[in-house]
Amino acid sequence: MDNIKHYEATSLDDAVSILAKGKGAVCAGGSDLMTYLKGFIVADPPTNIVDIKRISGLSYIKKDGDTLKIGALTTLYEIANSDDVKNNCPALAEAAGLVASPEIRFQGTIGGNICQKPRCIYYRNEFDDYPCKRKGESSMCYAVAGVNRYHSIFGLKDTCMAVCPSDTAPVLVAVGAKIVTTKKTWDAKDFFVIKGEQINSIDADEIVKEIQVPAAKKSVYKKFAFRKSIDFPLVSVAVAQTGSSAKVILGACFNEPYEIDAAEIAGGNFSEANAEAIAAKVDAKAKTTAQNKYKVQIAKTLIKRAILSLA
Amino acid sequence: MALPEMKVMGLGTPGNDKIRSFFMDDLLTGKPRFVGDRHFAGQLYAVAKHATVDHANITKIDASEALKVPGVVKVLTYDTNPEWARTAPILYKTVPFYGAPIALIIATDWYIAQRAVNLVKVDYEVLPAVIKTTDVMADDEAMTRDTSAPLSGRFADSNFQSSGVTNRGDVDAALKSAAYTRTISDMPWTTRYQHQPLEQYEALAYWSGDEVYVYIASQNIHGHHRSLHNWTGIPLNKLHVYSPGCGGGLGTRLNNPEALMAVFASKEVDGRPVLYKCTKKHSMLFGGRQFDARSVITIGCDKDGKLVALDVKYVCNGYGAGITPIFSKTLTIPNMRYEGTRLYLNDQDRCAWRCVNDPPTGYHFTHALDLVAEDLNMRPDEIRLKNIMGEHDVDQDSGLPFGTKEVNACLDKVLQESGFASKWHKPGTKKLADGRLHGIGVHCHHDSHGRIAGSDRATIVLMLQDGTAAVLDGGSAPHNQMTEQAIVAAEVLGLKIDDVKTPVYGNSDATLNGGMHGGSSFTGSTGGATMKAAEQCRKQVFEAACKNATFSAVNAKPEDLDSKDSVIFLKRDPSVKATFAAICSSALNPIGGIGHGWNNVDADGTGGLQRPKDGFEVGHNTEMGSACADVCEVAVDPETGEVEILEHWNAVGTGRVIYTDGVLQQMGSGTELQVNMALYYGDIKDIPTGNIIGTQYTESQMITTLDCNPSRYHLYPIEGDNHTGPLGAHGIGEPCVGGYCCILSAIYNAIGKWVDTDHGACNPDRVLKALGKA
Repeated sequence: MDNIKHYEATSLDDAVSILAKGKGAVCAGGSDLMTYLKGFIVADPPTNIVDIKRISGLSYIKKDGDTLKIGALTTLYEIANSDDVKNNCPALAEAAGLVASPEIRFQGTIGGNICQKPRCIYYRNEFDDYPCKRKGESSMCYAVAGVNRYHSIFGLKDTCMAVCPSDTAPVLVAVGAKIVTTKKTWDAKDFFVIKGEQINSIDADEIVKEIQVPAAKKSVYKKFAFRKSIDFPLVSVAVAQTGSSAKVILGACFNEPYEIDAAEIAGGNFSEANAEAIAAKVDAKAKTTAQNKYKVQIAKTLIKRAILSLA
Repeated sequence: MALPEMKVMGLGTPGNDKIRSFFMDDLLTGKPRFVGDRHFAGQLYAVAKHATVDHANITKIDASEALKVPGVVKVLTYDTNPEWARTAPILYKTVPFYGAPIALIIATDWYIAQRAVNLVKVDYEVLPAVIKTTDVMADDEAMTRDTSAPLSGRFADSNFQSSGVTNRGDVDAALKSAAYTRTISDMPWTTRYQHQPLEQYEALAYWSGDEVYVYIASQNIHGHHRSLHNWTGIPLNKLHVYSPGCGGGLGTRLNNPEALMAVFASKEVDGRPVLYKCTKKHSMLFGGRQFDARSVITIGCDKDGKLVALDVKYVCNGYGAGITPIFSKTLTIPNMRYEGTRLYLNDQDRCAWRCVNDPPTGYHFTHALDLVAEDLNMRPDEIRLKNIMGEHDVDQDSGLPFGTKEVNACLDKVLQESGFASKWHKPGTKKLADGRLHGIGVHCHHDSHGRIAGSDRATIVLMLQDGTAAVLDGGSAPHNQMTEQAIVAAEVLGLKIDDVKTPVYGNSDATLNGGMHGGSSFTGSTGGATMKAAEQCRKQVFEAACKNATFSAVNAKPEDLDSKDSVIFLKRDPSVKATFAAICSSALNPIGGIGHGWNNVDADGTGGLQRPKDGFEVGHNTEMGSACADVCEVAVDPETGEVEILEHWNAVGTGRVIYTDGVLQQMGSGTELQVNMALYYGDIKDIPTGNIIGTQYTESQMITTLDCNPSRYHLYPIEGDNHTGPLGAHGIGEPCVGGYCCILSAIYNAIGKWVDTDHGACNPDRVLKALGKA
């Protein structure tokens, strides 16, 4: 790797102060950051790496009334296997349990999962062969005229066709989770708005502390990937019914988690007809290419199967 | 016929410390053993800059900015050593394909060198490029000449590389009178693919005076030795090549240019050690790859599906893989014309693929037979059984016997074990209880891999005074091949397997040419050399024994003796015996043998049949190869296009099994590889730039062990007796894998459509496209 400075932060304040110097990056589990750095994927990479793993008090799953409070350093393995999470928000346990591979779930954290960089094949190409718009290095999105087989089926945002690769992001949006950072508390839907390279909108010196997940016992997550053992989603869907509302959120189909109107199931009628009706809405909104049209078919199938699984 | 009884061959898991050490102690515990893990004092690091156009003349290379970077020592180009650049695939002045190395950056740190790559500026005079076989095929003139005017292609003279033609009978007349004919031209594309070893492609070299020392992960250490000599003119005795370990990727660890790059770079920095290392991405850019093949097949049959004529036109890119017609050695076809053409393209040459002689040929073969069977209202197995060559048939073109031919037994086995006939149904007609579509497919072939081709290969066997034997086989790394050779030596000498050691490998100074290990010809070829060397030792040991008091007392002659379990005994009275240790420790002269292999066809009569077969005498030239058959059962989700392997049956003609676990490992890994190639993996080419961008495992969809379910893979070694191979053995490297073809055939049976794999695997999106849902 390039010459980097590695800081072992002792507190969040300590970590934030280092990030404020600029050219910083937070390292929690490191599973995304290490591939990012070792791939030389940007021309001017971060050089101040702030390791927050040793900051105490950031790894927990607590039940607080109807809300689950999950520390940012809680591993995906712990979330996937937590009875509290399984009982109160099964979709989140399912999503965490489907991230990457067992080894990465042992290492990777929920905070890292919602702060990872895009997985676009051009963005991630080693040694910065594709200085794209998302990196701020040009105005180009190479996927538009190139290989966009895995890319957005709902058009571009900010000239970028990459998708949000996080498994947990659509669940957090679907259940109306809140993300607590060192600066503020975000609604999940506002948090997952792209900003520069990021899949979220936090500042460079802002660190995720906690995820607050309201109970959503009627919730489910379905993921489709070519490989089952280790992969980012090609299409995923989270469906959650909370109170008198229901949300269907697609993952890996757009820059951000993408909502499909689900009024039909707000009252808990998870019928085949309603599932078909909601799935059909994907067609109306889709802006596909010849290479990624298949994702619409898979998205519709996952939506139907997810809704029917809640019946 | 019962096979001769063997003493050691066919063992399950013989001990071999070298293999255990490399695979279990080192790799599994993360201990570094590769070339790139070596760091000499004062070592420098080199990386290449790669061309970013398909075909061009380089008019200028400006390295001034790169040279300003602290730590960058030198930037080498074509002009640094034009003499070498003319004779070696090193730094090109005329770019032959995207990714070709055009400059070499040497720095004190690999990352510094890598970062400086983008600072080297190159001006190109872009030339027209030909990157598809179809571009060349469209030009009739280019297809019919071997020297011609430029076709805007890779080389100045022509895109044509070579061709092979098989002509048998009167194809035109037979097709004209056939009850049924069909021409199939819309063959699916096979996977774009590059071998990926555990470690990066890399080499380390330094000079000491005029002697050069080279470390490279190699499966052909003596091949590298000769290539470096041929490319650079460095005398062979001044070149020392070592291979400390090789993390797979076999098929591309042959004559790779990494060693040349390191030697070249070191020469330019006064002989200091230089490690040349590619990233995975860059090795894929200029390494050999499976890419482009087209065929047009016309089949003629009688109304019962008996083939009467076959006309095949086949075109593929680059050298490397063969264009041998597997049709002609698998099926009985009285009239056949096979025209195979290899082309140079402005793209990487193809590389070996562990499947058939040529993967597209295998797939096209299966595809065509299945279509004809369907037209004739037959099952796929029926048309194969009706036309498959008999075990004792001679080659239809040469008239030579086959050293071994097990394809019938393989096919019978997988059909029987899978219950194919009862499970097969008309394409697209069977649903499983969960709504998925059921499919089953079959493939079988006899292939020229596994042949005996070893007249240039040699092995040294030494008897030590403690009665143990040392085999120096010239192989390159501690893979199964060392166990194989130890077993062959133990079998011939009558030693316990634990009394045979393989102390030296990967060392061009201390061994003779052992050829290419990890290839399917190694077993038969180098095995022959080891057998001959061991026979010489055995003769000397028995002669020494006859001078020993134990045997001289009974006036024994060498022919009166035999040996087993490391004990030499009198045949007529086994109670008269002595250990190898007793004989070797008292022998007056050193005991050792040097053996060389042979070919299935040898002009001097040393090759061919080693034992009589089907009335043909010893020494008679033979056709060689090996065989496999596969059946696969799949379930296809019609809503997502996802394919699941339900069961897979793989039978391989093994010849005499030397090492049972090795055979099963080869078959098992081969089957997993085929599942990978058929359903998951595919490098991704960015058409606008010509770059290979699917260079990380994630994007290329390489499967992990968790995507495979070994309990569903049924492996059947079909043991035969190869009358040309050493002790009846032959290799099974490539022949064990026909799975790719039958998996795609099974998917066809499930959905009733052939999937266009579009240079990739049969991924769900492509299945959905075939189903009209994407």
